[in-house]
Amino acid sequence: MGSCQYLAEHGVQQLLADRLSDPGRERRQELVEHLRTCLACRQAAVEEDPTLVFSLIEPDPMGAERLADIQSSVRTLRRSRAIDSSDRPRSRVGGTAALVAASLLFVIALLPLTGGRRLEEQSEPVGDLVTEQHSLAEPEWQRWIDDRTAPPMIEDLNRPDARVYQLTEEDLAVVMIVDETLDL
Amino acid sequence: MPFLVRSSSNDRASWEESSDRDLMKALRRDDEGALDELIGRKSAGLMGVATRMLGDPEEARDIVQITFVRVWEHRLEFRDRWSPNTWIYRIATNLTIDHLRARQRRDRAMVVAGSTLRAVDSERKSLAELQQREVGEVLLKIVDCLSDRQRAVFVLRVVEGFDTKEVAKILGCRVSTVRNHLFVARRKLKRELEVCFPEYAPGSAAGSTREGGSDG
Repeated sequence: MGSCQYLAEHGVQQLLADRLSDPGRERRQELVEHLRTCLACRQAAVEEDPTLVFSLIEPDPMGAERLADIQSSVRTLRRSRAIDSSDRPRSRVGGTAALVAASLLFVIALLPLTGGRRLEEQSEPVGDLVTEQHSLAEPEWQRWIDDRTAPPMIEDLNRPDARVYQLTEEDLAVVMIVDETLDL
Repeated sequence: MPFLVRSSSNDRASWEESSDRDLMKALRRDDEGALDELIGRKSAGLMGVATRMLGDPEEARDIVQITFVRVWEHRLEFRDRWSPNTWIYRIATNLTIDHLRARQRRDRAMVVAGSTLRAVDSERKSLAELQQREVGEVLLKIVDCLSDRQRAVFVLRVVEGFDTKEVAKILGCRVSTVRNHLFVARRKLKRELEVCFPEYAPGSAAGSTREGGSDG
C-alpha cells in the first residue's frame, strides 16, 4: 500500500461511521476529496468496503444550456397546469349542467310510460270532485253490466222448464229468470 | 430586503447573493426570477439523486422539472422554519420513489448489467481505478437490488453526502431508520457487486494486482 498515511491517521472508519457516528458534512467532504486524488488510500478504502467508491461520484456539471432548457420546460409546465386548473372549474360547471339537463330529459322521457300515471294519481281530485268523476264513469259501468249480465230477452226463452218472474213497480223493474241451461 | 424590488428574471445575477430562504420568500410573492435561481442552484444535485435512483437521465430530468413545478405550486405552504433544501429534496425524492414504484424496470436493468459486465471486464481495472463515470455506471447497474427507501437513503447519504439527520428529514423518518436502511443497503450492494462485477470484489485478481502508489 503506498506511503500515504492519511487513512492511517484519520481512518477509513470515519467514512464507515454511519453505523456509529456521523463525521459531519465538512469532515466527510475532506475525506472524500482525499480519496478522489489518492489511489493508495482509495484502494485501501475500497478493500475495506467496496461501496465507499460510490461516495466519490461527483455530481455531473449542469451546463448553462441544459439549465436553461430545464427552466424553460418548468415555465411551460407551470403555465399549462395553471391553464388546466383555471379551465377545470368551468368545465366542471358545464359538466354539472349537462348532467342535470340529461337527468331532466330522462325523467321527462319516462313520464308517458310510468311517471304520467303516477302524476295522474297524485293529481286526482278530492272531495266533491270525486263524486263527479264517478258519475262520469257510470256509463262505462252501466255498459259493462249491460253486456255481461243483462237478462236475455224473455222471448228467447223457449225452454219449457225455464221460469220467468217479473216484478214491475213504478220506479223499479225486477226480472228473475230460472233456467239452469242459461249461460250467464 | 433586496428582493422586494426585484420581480423580473432578467436580473438573475442579483439573486446569486440571496439565500435559499430569501428565494422561498420571493417565491411566495410569485417571483419567477427566484424560481429560476432555485432551478439553477438545485438542478445538478437533484439530477444526481434522481439519476442514481432511477438509472435513467431522461426520467431524472422529468422528475427535476416536476419537482420545480411542485415547488411553485406549493410555495405558499412552505414554512419559514423548514429548510428549503430539505423541502425541495423531499419533493424530488418522493416523486422519484413514486416513479420507481410505478414501473418495473428490474428485468430490463439486469439485461443491461450483463452487457456492461463484459465491457468493464475486458478493461481489467480495479474498482478503485475506475473513472467516476464508470463508477456511476456500476452503481446504476446494481442499485436495483435495493428497495425504494434503501436506494433513496444510500444515494442521499453516500453519493450526495447529506448528513444522516438531513436524510431523515428528507425522507420523513427517524435517524435510526436511516442508519438501518444504510446498513442493509451497503450489505446488499456488496453482494450485488460480487455477483454482477466479481472482478471488483475485494481480494479479486484485478483488485489485488493493482496495488500501487498514490496518483494524487
